[in-house]
Amino acid sequence: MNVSIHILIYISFLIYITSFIAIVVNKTYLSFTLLIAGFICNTVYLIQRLNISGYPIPHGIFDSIFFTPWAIAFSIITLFYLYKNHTILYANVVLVITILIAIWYPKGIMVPEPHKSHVLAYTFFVTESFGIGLFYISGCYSLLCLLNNNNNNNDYFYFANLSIIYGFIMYSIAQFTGAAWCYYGWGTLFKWSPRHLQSAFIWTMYVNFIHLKYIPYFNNEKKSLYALLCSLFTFIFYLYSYIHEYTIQRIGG
Amino acid sequence: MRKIWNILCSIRTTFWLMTILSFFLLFGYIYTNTFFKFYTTLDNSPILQWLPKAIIHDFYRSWWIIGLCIIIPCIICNMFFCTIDKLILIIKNNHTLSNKQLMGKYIIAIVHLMSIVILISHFISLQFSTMFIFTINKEKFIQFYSEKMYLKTVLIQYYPFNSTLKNTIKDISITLLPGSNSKKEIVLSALNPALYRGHLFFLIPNKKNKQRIVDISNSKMNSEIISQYSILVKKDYGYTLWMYSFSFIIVFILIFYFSNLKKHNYN
Repeated sequence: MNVSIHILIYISFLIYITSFIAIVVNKTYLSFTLLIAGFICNTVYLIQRLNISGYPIPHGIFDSIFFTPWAIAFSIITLFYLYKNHTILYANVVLVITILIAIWYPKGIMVPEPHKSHVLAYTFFVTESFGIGLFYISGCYSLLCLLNNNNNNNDYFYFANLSIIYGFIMYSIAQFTGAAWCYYGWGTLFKWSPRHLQSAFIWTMYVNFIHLKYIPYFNNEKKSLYALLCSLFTFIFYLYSYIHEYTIQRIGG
Repeated sequence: MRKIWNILCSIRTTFWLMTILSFFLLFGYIYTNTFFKFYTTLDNSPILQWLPKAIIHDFYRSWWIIGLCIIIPCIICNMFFCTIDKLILIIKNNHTLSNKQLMGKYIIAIVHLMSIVILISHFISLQFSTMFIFTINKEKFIQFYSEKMYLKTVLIQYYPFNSTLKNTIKDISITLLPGSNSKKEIVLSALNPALYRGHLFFLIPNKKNKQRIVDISNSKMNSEIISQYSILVKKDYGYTLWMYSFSFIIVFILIFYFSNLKKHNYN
């Protein structure tokens, strides 16, 4: 394993976890500064992955397991920049969990195939990672919303809802690009495979969530519970697919 | 009659239909993980021909597909009547709504109608597409209707020899000649299908294709690599419809959410 390249992901993890500790002890701006530092470190790591095989191919950057923490960090930074609310930074816990999984995972790139090297494939992985990252963030806020009965409750619910809306847009674009990629590569828009059914399941659950606001029975608490369940399902499905791909031959780590 | 109309237009009906759909998709996920090979036959067969055989011989593995086939038309009906109901309301009350509100409501209606088109185009694609799969290994030609198409060249491109990806295929493309004396060439490669006489020619990897790195020094290599690919010839009536409606949806969803984002009362 090339330690000199992969050391940066460990450093990013340490900075992210420090950022999380800082927000727990109410040091909002220290937490945000550390988050940006971790994000820069994470970005450099992803750029280095581009050349992991000795030949520049984008697979290294857009590998879902390594790109998702970056997408989560980017989303948290953007949300904090737009809304300046310290509760946003509690989502750092999601970031720490996803980067921990990335650290545990084999860090090389999968041997590239002709059918996986296309701009549609890369767009699919980017939008899908942003989508699931935002769904995880919404799960975190939903859990906080359920656990707290104070004034922050509305903030948590608002940010959970916002993350789901953005995540849903990203995930819908991923469905579009994924289907187009599948069509150009395999001649079909939809395959009866676990990967496609998993995506359809997650998308359907979030479509349902978006419609909940028109049903009076679902108050904020029930909606939060539903969003948390959706987020947990998403996490379990993707964790399972990462485990499924764990033994695939890899290059560079 | 009014009661039936209310049920058809109800958002509660949508909720329950979508929940049932999620349930079938979840079971589909579990079943396709367990019996992956069984469902690969469905990828290359029209669904309404595949399903009756599967119901007779393998009901316990196909019940969730039957469920999907029942629930999706119900969702289409619900979406259609809900949209019509809302459109009638909008037209009746359009003088009470601002232009921005009207635009938002029309966008929602268009997105729902386009979603119906997407579902129908998927069905058209799954049921009415004509397709043929040809293997390229030992045959020098493929028979496409009454036409013989000859394999002219196979071009395999590798990653540079000085990288760790040496001996790994970067791209593969083949050239077909329609007729032995034809000057027209059909060039197709991975992810770049070719159009010929209204049919799309795809170069698709075989299901057993597991060999990603090959030994370049082996003289039999080309034929071995080619045997890992097939040519799929397809006339798909649903794809164009799907492409346009999905593009419209993405654009309209983006317009709707970004124009309504500031309306939320944060704080």
